Amino acid sequence: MDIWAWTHTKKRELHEAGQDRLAEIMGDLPHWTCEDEHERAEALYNEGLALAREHDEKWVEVFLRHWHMQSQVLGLRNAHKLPEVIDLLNLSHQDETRDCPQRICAVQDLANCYGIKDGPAYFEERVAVAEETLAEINATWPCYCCISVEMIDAYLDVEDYATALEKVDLATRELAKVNDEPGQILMMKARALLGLGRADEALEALQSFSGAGYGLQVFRQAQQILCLVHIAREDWPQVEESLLSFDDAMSASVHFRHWVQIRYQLHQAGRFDVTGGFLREGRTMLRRLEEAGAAREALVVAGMLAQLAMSAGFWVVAEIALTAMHQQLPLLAKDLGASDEVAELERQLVAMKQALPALESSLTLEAFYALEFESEDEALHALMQAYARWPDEDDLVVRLAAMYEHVGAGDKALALLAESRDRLPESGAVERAYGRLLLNASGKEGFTAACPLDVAGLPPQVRVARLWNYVDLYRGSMPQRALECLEELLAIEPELPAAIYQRAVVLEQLERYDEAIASWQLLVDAFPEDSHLRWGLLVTATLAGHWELVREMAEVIGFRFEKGVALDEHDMGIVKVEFTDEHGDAQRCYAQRTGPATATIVDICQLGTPQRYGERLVFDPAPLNELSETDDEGRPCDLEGNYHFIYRNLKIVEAPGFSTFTLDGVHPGDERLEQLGAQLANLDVVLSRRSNDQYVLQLEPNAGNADASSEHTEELPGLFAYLLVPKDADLVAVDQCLEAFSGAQPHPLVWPELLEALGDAPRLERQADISKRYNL
Amino acid sequence: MSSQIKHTQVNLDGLLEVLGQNLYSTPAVALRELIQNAHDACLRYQLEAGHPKAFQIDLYTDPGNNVLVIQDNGSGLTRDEVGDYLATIGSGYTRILRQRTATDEMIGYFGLGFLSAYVVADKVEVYTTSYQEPESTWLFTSSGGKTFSISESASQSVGSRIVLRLKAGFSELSDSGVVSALVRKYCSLLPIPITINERPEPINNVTPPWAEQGVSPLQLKRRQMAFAELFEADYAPLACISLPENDLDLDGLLWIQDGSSYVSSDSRNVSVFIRNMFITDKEADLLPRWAGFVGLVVESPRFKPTASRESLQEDDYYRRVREFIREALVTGLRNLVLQEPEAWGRILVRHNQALIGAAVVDDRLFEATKRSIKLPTNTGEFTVPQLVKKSQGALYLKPEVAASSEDMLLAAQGIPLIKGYLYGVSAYCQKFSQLEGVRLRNLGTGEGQEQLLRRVTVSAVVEQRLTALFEEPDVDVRFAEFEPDEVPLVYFSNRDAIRKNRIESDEAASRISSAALSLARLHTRTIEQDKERIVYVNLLNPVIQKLSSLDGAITRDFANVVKCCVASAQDGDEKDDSMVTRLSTFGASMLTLMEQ
Repeated sequence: MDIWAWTHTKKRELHEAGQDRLAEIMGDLPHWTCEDEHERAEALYNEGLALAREHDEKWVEVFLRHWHMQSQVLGLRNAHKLPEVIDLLNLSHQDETRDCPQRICAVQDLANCYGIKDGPAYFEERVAVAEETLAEINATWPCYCCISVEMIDAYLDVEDYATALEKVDLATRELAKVNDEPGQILMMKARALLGLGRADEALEALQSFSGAGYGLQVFRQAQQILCLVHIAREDWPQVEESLLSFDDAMSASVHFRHWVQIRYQLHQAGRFDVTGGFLREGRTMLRRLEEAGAAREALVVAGMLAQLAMSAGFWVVAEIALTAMHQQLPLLAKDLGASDEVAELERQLVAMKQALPALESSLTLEAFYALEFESEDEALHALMQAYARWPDEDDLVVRLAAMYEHVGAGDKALALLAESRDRLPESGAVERAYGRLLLNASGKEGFTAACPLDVAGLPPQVRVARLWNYVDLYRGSMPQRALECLEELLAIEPELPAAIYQRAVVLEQLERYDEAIASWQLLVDAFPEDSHLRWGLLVTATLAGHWELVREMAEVIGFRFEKGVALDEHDMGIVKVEFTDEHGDAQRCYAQRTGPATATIVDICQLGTPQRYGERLVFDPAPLNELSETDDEGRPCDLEGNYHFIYRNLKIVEAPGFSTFTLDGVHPGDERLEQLGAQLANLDVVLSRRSNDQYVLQLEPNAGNADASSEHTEELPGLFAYLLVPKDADLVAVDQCLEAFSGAQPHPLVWPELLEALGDAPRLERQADISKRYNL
Repeated sequence: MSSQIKHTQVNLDGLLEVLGQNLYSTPAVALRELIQNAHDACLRYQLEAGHPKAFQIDLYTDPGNNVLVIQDNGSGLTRDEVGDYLATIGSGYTRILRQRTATDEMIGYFGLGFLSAYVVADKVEVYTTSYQEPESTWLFTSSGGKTFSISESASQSVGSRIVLRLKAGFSELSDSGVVSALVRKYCSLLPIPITINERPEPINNVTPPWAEQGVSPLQLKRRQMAFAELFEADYAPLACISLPENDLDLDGLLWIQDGSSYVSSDSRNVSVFIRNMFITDKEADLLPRWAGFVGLVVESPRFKPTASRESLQEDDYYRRVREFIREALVTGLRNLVLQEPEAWGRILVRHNQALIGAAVVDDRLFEATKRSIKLPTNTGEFTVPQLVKKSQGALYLKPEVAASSEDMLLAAQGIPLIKGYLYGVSAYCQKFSQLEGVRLRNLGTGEGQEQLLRRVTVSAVVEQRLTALFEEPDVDVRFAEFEPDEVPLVYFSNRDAIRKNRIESDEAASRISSAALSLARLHTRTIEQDKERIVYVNLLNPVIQKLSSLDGAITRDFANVVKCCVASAQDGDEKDDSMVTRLSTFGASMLTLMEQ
C-alpha cells in the first residue's frame, strides 16, 4: 500500500473536516524531518499528537509517532527512545491500526533503535527483523527501500561488505521489476564498494543517485559518503569541495560519525591539521552522541578523537575522549574488541603524558602562581603537577577544579573537590567551590543531600562556606531561610561585609526595615566613602519612614531640601514609575517625585489597567533608562522617546484606590465642564478629560434636537472623560450630581459604568439609547 | 551534404503572448519597464552629456482615449539608436553603457523592457530627441511590434515621449489612480521625480530611512515607522530594525508587524529593490522561515534578477544576504529586548507563540529572547525565570492534555504546569533545560513521578501493615512523603510494566511478527515490575499515620474507604484545590471515626 497516497487522502479529509492544523502537521512533520530541521519537527510533534488523540485518529497517531521516531532515532540517534518505539510497535499492531501502512515503518524504527544503541552487537536481530518484514511486503511498497537499507546497514556495521553488496543487488533487481529506482540503496552500495576497496565503482554508484526528493538529510549523508569516496581515490580537490561544514553536520547526529571519520582519514593522509577548534567541534558531537545513548557510535567517534588529539599534543581532549569511551563500554551489548581498543589508547596516552615537560623542582608555589601558559592543555598539565607537589594547598585545588570545569571536564572537577573535601576537612575554599559546582550540576536535591545544612561540629571556615552556599540557594525565593543562614554565618564571622550587606538586602526584602537599617548603618560606618551603601540606607530608611535618617543620607549624597516641607512632599519633578505584575507585564505611570526615593502617581491610568492615581510609593532610585538622546527640539530623552527617568516601584506606601468610570457625550463647554469638575471635586471625585478637539459627534437628523426641522447630520464637539471615584465614595451622590448637571444641558451625557455599579438597569437602558442616538 | 546557416524565425505574436502571460506576472510591469528605461535615459544623459540637469519623468493619462504617455528629459535617441535599440528585441543600450562606464546605477538588463510596451498597447509611438542631435526629433511608430516606421517629427526638447495606445484589456493603465498606485509601488525609491498629469507634487517622494541624513535617532525611528507603513498594507509596524552597515552594498529596513501571529503562520512581507526599482515582493525567503511576523524592504545593486525581473537568482550573494538579514533581525530583536522594553512588550503580546517556535529553531534568537518569552501554563503565561522561581527551580512540563495525578499534586502546591502540548512549548522547554541547565520535569514519566514524590523507607512493621492494606493484584505499593499532606494516596500507571505485559503476552505473538517481537522483548525483559499501577502512600498524611499504627479488621475497612475516596477524587473533573479541600474534610472525618 502506498503510504503517501493514504497521507494525501487523509490530509484532504482532515481539511474537509475542519481539522486544518492536524492536516498541516501531517505534512510538516515529515517535511522538516527529511530536511534535517529536527527542532522544527519537535516543535510540532506534541501538538500534533494531542490533536490526533483528541479526534481519535489512530492511524494519524501512528503516522505522527513514526515520523517523530524518524526524527529522534534515525536523525538524532536518540536511543533512549526505545521504550517509545516499543509502544509504537504495540500500537501499530492493534486491530484498529494493523492495516495502517505505517505499521511496517514502526518495525523499522525498532530495528533502527537497536542499530543506534549498538549496531554490530545486534546484527543478527536486525537482519532477522528486516528479512521478516521484507517477506511481508514487496517492492511496490515505499517501505521496501527503507527496510532494505536498514538490512544492508546491518551488514555494513559488521563490515561484511560482500553480503551487503549482494543485498544491494537483490533489492535493486526487485525494484527494477516494478520499474522503481534503487534510491537510497545506492548510498549503501557506495559504502559497500568503498569497504571492498572499489572506490571508482562507489563513485559511479553515487553519481547515479540524484538524491532529489529525499530532503537535506539524505543529501548531506550522500555528500559525506561521496567525500569518503574522494578520499579513497585521493582526489583532494573533490574532497575539499564535498566537505560538509560543521554547522550543517550539527543539524543531525546521523552525520557525526562520518564527519569525524572524514577528518580522521584526511589527517592520516597528511591533509588535515588538528586544531583546538576542530577538537571542540568533535567533542560537541561526542557529547551529543553520549547523551543520546548511541553507545557504539559515541565509542567510535571518541576513539577517533582521542587519536587525533594525541597526534597533535592535545592530551586533555584525549583524556576526555578516553573517559567517554570508558563510560560507553558497559552500555555496549557486546564488547567486540572495544575494551582492547580503549586499553591500547590509554597506554598511548600515559606514554604521551610522561613525555610532557615537568615543573622545575626549585619552583615555589608563589612562583608557580605567577607563571603564564599558552594553552589550556599546558595550564592544566602544570596545575596537575603542582597539585601533585602541593596537594594540601586548597587554593590550588580550587584552581585545578576551575580549570577542569573550563575544559569541559566538570565531573573531574566535582570528583577532585569531593576528594579534597575529605582530605582537607578544614578548607572553606574547597567547601565553597564544591557546593557551588554541585548546586550548578545537581540542583537543590543533589546539593542538600551532599551538604546538609546542619553545620554544627564543622570547622568554622567550612561552616561559613557551606552557609554561603545555602544563602545562594535561598536568597531569591526563600529570603527567611537565607536570613537564618546569614545570621548563623555572622555569628561565626560578625564583621564580614559581604554577609552584612546580604543581610541588609534580605531584611529589606522581608520588610524588617529597622533591622535592615542597622545592617546598612554598620556598612556605612565601615565604608563612609561608598555612596552606593548610603543609597541603600536611604531607601530602607524611606521604606521605614525614618525621615531624619533619610535627610541625613540625602544631604551627604548631595540633595538639598526646603525647610518646613516633609521629606516626601517636595516637588522634584515628574518621573515615570514602572510596576510589574506577577506575569512580568509592566505598567508605567507618570508620578510626581516627592523625595529622593518617593513619588506620588499623577497619571490617570487607562481603563483596563490598574488605576494607580494618587498612589504614594517608594521606588528604587537607580533609573531603568538613560536620557542619552535628544528629540527634534534638543530635549533630552531616551531611545524610546521617554522624556523622564523611569524607576522601579519598590513598595506602595499608600493606595487611595480609585474606581474609574467614563463620562461621554456632547461637550457642555469649557466653563460648564469646569463647574462640573468643581462639583465633583467636592465629592472627592476627579474629572479627567481624555478627548481632544478631534472628538466630534455625529448627531442623526432630529435625534435629540429640539429643532425638528433639521434634515442633516449635525456635528457637535464631544467629551470623553474619566471619573476617578474613591473606593469609599457615595456613588449615589456622584450619580445625582451628574444627573443634575446633565439634565441642565441641551444634550445629555452618559455614565453607564457607574449606573451599572449602582445596578440601575432602567436608566442604563435609557443611556444606551442616548449613546445610540449620538453615535457615542 | 553541405551545411547552411539560417536565421531562426521569431513569431513575435507568440513571443509577446509568452512575455505577457509568462515572463511578466502582470502586464502592469510594462509600466515599470518603461519608467526604468526613462530613468536609465536620464542617467545616460548625466554620464555622457557631462553637464548637470534637473531630471524628471512625467506621466500623462487619457482614459477617454485609452492612452498612457511616459515622458522623460533624458538622453533621447538618435536615428541610428532608434533602429538599434527600439527596433531590435533584446538589444538594450543600458547593458552596453553599464559595461562601458562600470556604473551601478542603471537598472535595465536584458533589453526586453521596451518589448513590454507591445504587451499592453496596440500602437506604440516614440518621439525622441537625442542630446547628441538636439535639432532632430524622430518618431518611431509600431503597431504590435512586427512592423515599424521611423520618420522625422516636429522638433521637441531633448528626451523621449512614449505614447501607448492601450489594448482594450489594459485600459486601466490610462487611469491616473491606477498608474499612481503602480508608480508608488515600483518607483517609490527612484531618485528622479515622477509626476502625473502635470500635478506639481511627485508621486514618488519617499526618502528611504537609510538615506536620511542629519536626523536624530528619535526622528529616524519615526521616519522608519512611516516608511514601513508604506509597505505594510495589512499590519501596522510595531517596531523597526535598521540593517547595519555591511560590505554587501545592502540597505534596508526590517519591522515587526502588528497583526497577531498564530503558531507557524507566515505573513512575511518582503519588498526587494534593485538600484531603487521595485523588483518583487515574492522573496519571502530572504527572511528566516520563523519570521512570519516580520516585514522587510531591501535594496541592493548586487541582487541578480531573473529575466522577468520579478524574482531573484538564488546565487551566493543572495545566500549571504539572507544570512546577514537573519543576524540583523536577531540582533535587532535582542536590542529591542534590552533597550525598548515597551516595544518588546507589544511584540510579545502579538507574537509570543510564534517566537516560541522561532526560538526553538534559532539558537541566536533563543539567546536573545530567553528571559522574556512567555510560556502558557494552567495558571496563565509566565517567562521561564518566573516559572523557575514559582516552581522552586524546575520546569514542570505537561505533554498531554489529559489530566493526571501529578497535575493535582502540583496545582495544590501552586506550581504552574506548562502546556507542553501546544506548538513549540515542549521543544522550547527542552532547549531551555539543555542550554541553561534548568531542571525539566516531564510529567507522565516514571522519572517525573520519582522526582515529585520523595520515596522514603519505613520500618518493617509499618511497611508490612500498610502494604497489606493497599496492595492489590495489579497495584504496587510505594512509600513517600509529598505535599499537600491532605492527600493520603496517589495512583499512577506504571508504563514500564504495562509495556512489559503487553509485549510479553501470548496475545502479542499473534499480532506482531516474531523477529520484531523478539527484538522488543530484549528490552522488556530488563523491566522488573509487572504491576500496572503504583500507589504512593503519603506518610505525611494524618489518616495514613493513624492507619499505620492501628490493628484489627476494621483497619482494612478504613483503608478501603480511603481508597474509594481518593479514586473518586482523582476521577472527578473538579478543580484541584477543591479536591484537596474535600480530601482534607474527609481526612478530618476519618480521623474522628477512627478515634471512636
